[in-house]
Amino acid sequence: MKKLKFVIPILVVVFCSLGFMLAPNNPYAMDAAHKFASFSADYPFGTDQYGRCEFSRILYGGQVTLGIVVVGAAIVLLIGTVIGLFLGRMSTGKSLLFNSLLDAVTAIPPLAYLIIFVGIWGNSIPTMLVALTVSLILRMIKLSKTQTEIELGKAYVLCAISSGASKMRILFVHVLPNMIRSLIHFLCLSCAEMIMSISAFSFIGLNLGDDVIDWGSMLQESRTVYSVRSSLLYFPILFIFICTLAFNLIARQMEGGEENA
Amino acid sequence: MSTKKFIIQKIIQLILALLFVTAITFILMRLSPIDAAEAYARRSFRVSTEEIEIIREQMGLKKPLVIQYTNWLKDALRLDFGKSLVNNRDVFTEIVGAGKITGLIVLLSTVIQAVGALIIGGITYLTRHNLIGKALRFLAIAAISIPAFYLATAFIDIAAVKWGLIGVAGNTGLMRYFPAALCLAVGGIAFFGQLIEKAIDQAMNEDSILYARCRGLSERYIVVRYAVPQAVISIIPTFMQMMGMCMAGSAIVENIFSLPGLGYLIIESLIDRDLPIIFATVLYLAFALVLFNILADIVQRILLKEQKEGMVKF
Amino acid sequence: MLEVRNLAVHTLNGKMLLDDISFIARPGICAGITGPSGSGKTTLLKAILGVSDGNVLVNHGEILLDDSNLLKRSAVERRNLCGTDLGFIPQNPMTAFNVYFTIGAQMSETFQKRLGLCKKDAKQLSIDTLKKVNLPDTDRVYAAYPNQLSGGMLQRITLAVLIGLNPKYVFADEPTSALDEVNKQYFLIEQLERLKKNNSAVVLVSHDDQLLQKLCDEIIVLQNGKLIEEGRADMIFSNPANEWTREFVTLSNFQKKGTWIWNKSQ
Repeated sequence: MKKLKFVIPILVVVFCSLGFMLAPNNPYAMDAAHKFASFSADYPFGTDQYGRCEFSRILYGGQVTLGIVVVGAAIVLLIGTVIGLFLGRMSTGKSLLFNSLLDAVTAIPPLAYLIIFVGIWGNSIPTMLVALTVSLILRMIKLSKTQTEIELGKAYVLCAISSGASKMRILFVHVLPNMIRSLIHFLCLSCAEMIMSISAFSFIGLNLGDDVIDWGSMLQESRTVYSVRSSLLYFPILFIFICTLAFNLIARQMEGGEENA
Repeated sequence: MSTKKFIIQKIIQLILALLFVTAITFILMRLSPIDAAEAYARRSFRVSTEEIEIIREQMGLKKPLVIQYTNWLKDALRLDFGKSLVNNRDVFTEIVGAGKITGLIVLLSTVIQAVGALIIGGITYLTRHNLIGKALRFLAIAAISIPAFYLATAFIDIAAVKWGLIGVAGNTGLMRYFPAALCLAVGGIAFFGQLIEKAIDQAMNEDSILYARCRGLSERYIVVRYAVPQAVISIIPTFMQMMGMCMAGSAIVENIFSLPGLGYLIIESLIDRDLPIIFATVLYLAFALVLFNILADIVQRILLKEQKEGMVKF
Repeated sequence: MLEVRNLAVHTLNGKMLLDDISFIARPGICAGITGPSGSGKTTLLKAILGVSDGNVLVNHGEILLDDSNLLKRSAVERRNLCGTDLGFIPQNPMTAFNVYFTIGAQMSETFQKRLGLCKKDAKQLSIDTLKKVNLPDTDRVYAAYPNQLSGGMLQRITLAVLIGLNPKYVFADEPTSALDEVNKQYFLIEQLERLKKNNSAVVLVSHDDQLLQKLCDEIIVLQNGKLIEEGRADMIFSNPANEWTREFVTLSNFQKKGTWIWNKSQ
């Protein structure tokens, strides 16, 4: 039961990000004869105002939206954690200036960084990826650094040192496993927030590019034909909701596990 | 840490954050694929290469980046942010006007969140052992997962357009900002409702509560009188940080409701490449965000200190 | 008379905390409960008072207060017995009061809610009872926050609450563990003795051999949630049957014989 709660959200995320491989139709292929087709074997979710397969578009949209989030999160986890570990180990913890800088830059929420990046560079997939990584990595470094400092103060580290473990071994074998849960917890919550932010930008008109399909821009397009076919609006929002929920549920599992451990 | 050191650290933090954000904006602008001078030239129908060059010279874009930045900083210290490239209005007045609207939305949203979270958190705590509580907990996670921008559109599509209840732009006074604040608040209500429930639960396990029960005080009275205030105090710092986040979140919702707040202003000016407004808005936003964070730190510090001395009064 | 019959307590996931416990608390008699840490002494008190933790289930046996079974009554009814009928003295006075409210506010509200007094009378009663437990400077204590007072003073305040509510049964959960010797003496001799003389039934949970010997008429010994020994206090101390009790008594005698005797009884 416990495992199931963990596996299902992960499966959902994997399906939504890799589902484009299973897409039954070309998401760009317009077909004036099949405008607003209803659900059928050929078009599981029907078609939109240009006769494009809604199901395939959803799957391709997932590749873009979730792809940015997952790739960004992986980079943040890898780089942010390692930098945080080393910073936590060094005596920078006592440097007023450095700490203030880190506090200062993390005081600004990721969404604000996204606004700055996206606004200035215009929205595109690479911009979004860079913006997302930069805004999250700073917070990740701070979290990882603080956690490392806390862990290094605990008794088991002293035991490890006295039994001759090297510095690298202490950091990666002893400290890292003890804080990885809270790091992933943070990352999952951020991913949930990012899915919403990315969709929000394309939704208000700063789309990722002219030919890029993503859930936000699908929402925006379908809103114009809301009165004709409201299901076109509900599919993208449903998938945004499910993926966000999945990340939030994983985060909760991580949190709950910590209490049990 | 002494109070003096604490204050110094907070001031340094504020200055660093502002420098960092504005510097990043400048650097990004320089690296931007879209040229501000060209964008300006297009708008004023002066499209020849020479004319663009002249405009670039006028805007000071030819100077080295560091000099541009320091010049801007010097002016900013005198609250002189220049004039808008689009409509030639004074940037500072524009920002103050927009800031008022965003401030109102955030303030309204904060009140809604505080009241809502308290009610939801309390109900979840009281029903935690039965199905209602479980359902509420799941609903809370679900509510966090609904994007505010979707709530906003759904609100406009259904409440405003279909039912004709509220003219989205027509209302005046606070009611005009209420829908935006409400949409912005839903996630926060769910999030802080959860936090409050956890905090109440934690407070109810304390020794002092056991003794209060043994004095024969009723469960409801104990929750309302002891556990809730304690829970509220414990989440005040997080709540204040959230007020900062709300300012950023407001940007999206304002655009959907077409409210001329900071978020609306920033996105508009970003699309128009209106440099002076972009820089000033970013600075203003960063200032507000960091200020809320610092306030949260200060409140937390005061609470901890007072708790140690047992001097918190109601 | 309060009688516990075959009481069994489990956690929600089935772990046994107390099994088949029976004992009687009579007016004018002090019953002691002792046993090693984690043996279920506090769990027993909480079960009787009906303030068990959320994950605890009192699922077997009877708690008879004047021949009516408390376990059959509603939570609200049982809570109404707390304080006025079943009094309680907490283990650690330092954490017994809420740090965000003054002592006076917490005392007065108790008297207002439990005795139906008006605000003014409740305050007067608080001041009177504070005087009765020999707290000097009552006005300052009344207006003080818990963190501004010492453990000894706070323990006296819990006594003041007890005196004000005047319950027939008093349950004390290791009342002396956080007190220094002077306060202990005061607490022990002046107050619990006086309660006994006033014909209250006192149930005392304690590790303190000196307190048990001096005050208790009967003692029950718990280990791992089971009742392993019961009898008159002097019998248990002179002729302990169980292994743990023997060790407990030996240690207590050893302390008496040692050169480091502190002022024990007189």
